[in-house]
Amino acid sequence: MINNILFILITVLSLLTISRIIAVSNLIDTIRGRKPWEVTLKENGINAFLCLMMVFFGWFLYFYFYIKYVRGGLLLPEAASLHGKDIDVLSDVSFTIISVAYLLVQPFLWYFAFRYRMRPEGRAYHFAHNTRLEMVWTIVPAIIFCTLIFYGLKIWIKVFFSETEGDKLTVELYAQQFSWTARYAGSDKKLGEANYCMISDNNQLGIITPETIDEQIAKIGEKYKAVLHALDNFPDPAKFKELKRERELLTHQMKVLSDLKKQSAQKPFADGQDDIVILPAVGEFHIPVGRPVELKMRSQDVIHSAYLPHFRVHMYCSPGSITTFTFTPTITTQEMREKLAKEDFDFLLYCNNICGSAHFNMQMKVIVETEEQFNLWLSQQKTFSASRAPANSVPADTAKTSAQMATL
Amino acid sequence: MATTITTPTDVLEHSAHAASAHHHREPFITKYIFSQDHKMIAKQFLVTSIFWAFVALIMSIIFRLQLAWPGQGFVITEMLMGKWGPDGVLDPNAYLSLVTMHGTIMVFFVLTAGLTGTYANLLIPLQLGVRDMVNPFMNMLSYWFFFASSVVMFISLFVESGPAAAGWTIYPPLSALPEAIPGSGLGMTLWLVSMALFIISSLLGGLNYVATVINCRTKGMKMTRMPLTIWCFMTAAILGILSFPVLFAAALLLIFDRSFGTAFFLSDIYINGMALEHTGGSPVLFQHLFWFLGHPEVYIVLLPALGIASEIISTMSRKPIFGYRAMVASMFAIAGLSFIVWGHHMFVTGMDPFLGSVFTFTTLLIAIPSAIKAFNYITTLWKGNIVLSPGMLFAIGIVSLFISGGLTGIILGDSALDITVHHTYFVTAHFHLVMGIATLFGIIAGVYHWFPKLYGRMMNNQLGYVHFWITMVCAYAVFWPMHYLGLAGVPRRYYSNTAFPMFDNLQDLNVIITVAAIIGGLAQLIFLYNFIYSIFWGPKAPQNPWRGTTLEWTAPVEHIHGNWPGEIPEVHRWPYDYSIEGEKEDFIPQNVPLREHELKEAAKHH
Ligand code: HEM
Ligand SMILES: [Cu+2]
Ligand SMILES: [Cu+2]
Repeated sequence: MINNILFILITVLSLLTISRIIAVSNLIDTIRGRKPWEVTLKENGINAFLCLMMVFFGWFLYFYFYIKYVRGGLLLPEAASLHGKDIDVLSDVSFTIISVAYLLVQPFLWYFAFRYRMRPEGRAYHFAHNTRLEMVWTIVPAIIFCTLIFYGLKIWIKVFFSETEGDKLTVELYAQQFSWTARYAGSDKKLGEANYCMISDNNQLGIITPETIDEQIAKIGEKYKAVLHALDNFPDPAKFKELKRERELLTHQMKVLSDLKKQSAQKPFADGQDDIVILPAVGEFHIPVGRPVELKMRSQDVIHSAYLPHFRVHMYCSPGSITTFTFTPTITTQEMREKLAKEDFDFLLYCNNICGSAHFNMQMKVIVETEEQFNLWLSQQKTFSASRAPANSVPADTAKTSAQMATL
Repeated sequence: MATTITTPTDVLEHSAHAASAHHHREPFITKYIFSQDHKMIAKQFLVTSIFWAFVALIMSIIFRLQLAWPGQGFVITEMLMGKWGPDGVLDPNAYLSLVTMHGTIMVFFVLTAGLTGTYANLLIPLQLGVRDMVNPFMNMLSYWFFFASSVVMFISLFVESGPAAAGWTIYPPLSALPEAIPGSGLGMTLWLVSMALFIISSLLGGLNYVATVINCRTKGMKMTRMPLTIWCFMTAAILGILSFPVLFAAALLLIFDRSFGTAFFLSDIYINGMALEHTGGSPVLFQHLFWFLGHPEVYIVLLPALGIASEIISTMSRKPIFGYRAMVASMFAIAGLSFIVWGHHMFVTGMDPFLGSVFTFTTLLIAIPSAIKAFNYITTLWKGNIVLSPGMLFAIGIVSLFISGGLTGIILGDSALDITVHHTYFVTAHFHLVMGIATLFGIIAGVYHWFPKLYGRMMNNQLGYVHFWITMVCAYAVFWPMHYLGLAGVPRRYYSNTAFPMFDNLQDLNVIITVAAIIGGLAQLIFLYNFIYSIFWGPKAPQNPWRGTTLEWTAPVEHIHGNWPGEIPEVHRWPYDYSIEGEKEDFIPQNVPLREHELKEAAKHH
């Protein structure tokens, strides 16, 4: 309390003091026949000097951070993917150009402000335009930027349009608030189809197989019955509204499921059986070095973004569509650890699109290893149908909360 | 009471008080509240946006505290955030709300309304020699829609489930589903309502600005004799008229999706244990619509700031702006291109990569006219006789920030490089420098420079200098280090970086940024004090304190309806006749008739 009063008192007093000082200095100016708002030569000189200092401040910022962070290895390490190396070269070239521009152009601005400061009896030089000069600084940047555009586009096209050679590995990354699930195609090399209406405790990705369809229909049927029952028991108005909405949604879901059931008469829906699902609780997924990896991204709820900066990979995951990004890892986790002399280094996949409260902690490790190690690891994982034996299921909600609990 | 003015000295000595005869008492309510006078409306916009600027500033300090010292309690957080800051520790959802509201308020209420609303309103009639906007009533409505929009947004800060929290870009589904984040409940509804009102305000204002510039210039004010400020206000208004309706449409469709079960942007969503009924919508469609406004919006705020910089730099260097025609042409090039670059915000959304390459091409093209502008500003300083008033320093600051921030745009616009830096702090650093702070400097520079036109008094220079230097250094100290966070892979909109050991050795950067933000924020109090003090007790302004050539300096200091007593000044020359050789004074106002030798010269050209 005393503190607050003191604080207010000091503030008021200092404001009053400043007002008095301003008033008195204005008065003195007026008595001396000067206009208080006119910039005096002395003031102008001081400010001009500070402008000159800005030249050095600008250089200082650049070099201090360059030495400490860029040279000091505190930024992202070298790219660990094939296309990433191209991007890094483009990045170096672009950064060199803009650095030079920054280091040269800023000083002109601040130096001129200093050099051509108001002089007593001074007069500016009337210089309204000069076609040749203007041509120079239209054409020079135009050439530089056009070169950059074409260079950049070349790399971009390489990233997205080049045919991958060799046998590519397809991995699905499935995003949900606030965790990642990975899925590998089994021996048939095909990811099974999925539908969001098929999602349940033991089928977090909504994979469609003949068995899961039946199981889901039974589950939703139970749920629907429960809702009807609750509705019959005269709930209070708020609850009533909620239940009605639930009934609506379950009806819609049932429709989709029965459609799927009909389809299953013609379509075997067999691709998903041998898929391998790596649940969030595992916390890591593996990929082999030197082989193209095609990431297929889906989302369960809102937009997330799969960000794997070490590989220069980044792609949004939007509900309702599948996005892809193909890249070839070139450095294994072990090699990278040795290179950086960091025992605990790991490649990471994390979310880079605002998705809710725990957006800041939605990550998964990416383990890059040799083909043999990878094959061994993959062979140790259970297939989807094998993992659905009741004892092994990890409910989705548990996984979600445990990921959240880890940091909060 | 027409006064003929033939020489600059006449202008200086022309008594401002000549106008007082015209004074008649107006009721308080029409003079100060429902005023249709463009000068009063300008002041209303200015004061409202200063209020908002401080609100958004305090928000940024609160979330910066959390980033620098995650999980630590702060008295200010506890005091201001209530249940969202138990024990002074910011809640993660509240963090996102704060970031969202900070961004929304800064972009729309401060930079759009505060800059255009203030200076287009003040300067278009005054610099063109017009008595008021073509439609003063619409102009008044423009302010009151803005006010209503402000009230709704302010109320949204206090709703039970918190204000909107999906980022200022409000991408659905996050912004559509209250189940996904509490801020997407009532908070988001109010956000959308407020934005709809804001768009109406902006359109009413914009139509007026364009119509006035095109139709209502004084005699002799050819388009090519308009000050660059006017060119910029007009272009920005055109951009607004063409792009804001698209945001309106997007907001409307989002309202439908949220409340009426349509599926424009929603599809295949499973949340809270339930499969939702929406199928077939596309979240990417929303992003297209949003950025079709979102990118031009950057120039809607930036162009007026650059216009203000042009005007002040020329006046205070006592030199014509270098390359007037190139400045206008490059501004048109920027404005035109700004409509076909929106996809650079969407390189990695899953948009067709071919489309991405088109957007890279158009985006990097913008760098060319931007470079021309920067070089022209610098050349304007060359061999000047520079008066470093606070307004001038802020104008130089605009150019400095425009260069620093513009250069990193070359990285972000390059689709291949954007893969890595998209949505990281590199972006935050880039847009704060080039758009946020540069434009904020535009508002501030304008206040210092045109204060005599706004309030008839002068601000205190010494406080202005202290304000400028602290702000300038802090602006770089806050936003420069953010580039390196981004290059280390730190995403924006993260509540804390503690979940990532790989970011541990960057924590000292976060502390530097926050400390600089606090110091810079406090420095704004100096400005606020100077502003309020000078309104009431500043020394009375002379008519033309900066010895400028444009028409606003020929109007009397006292605000009168119709701006000029008697006849409107007639224009005889372009606005940048500074330091002409052979002239006694180093400036010739636009309303001074051509000299004999100039007449001869003009005749020769015809
Ligand atoms: C006091 C000075 C300011 C500070 C310290 C500051 C700080 C920040 C920071 C750190 C963020 C990113 C937070 C995050 O992504 O988690 C942010 C976001 C943002 N700021 Fe500022 N800012 C300041 C002034 C401004 C100004 C003048 C503008 C005007 C354009 C502005 C516009 C924005 C926008 C549009 C966002 C993005 C919001 C979003 O991600 O949805 N800020 N600010
Ligand atoms: Cu996410
Ligand atoms: Cu843009």
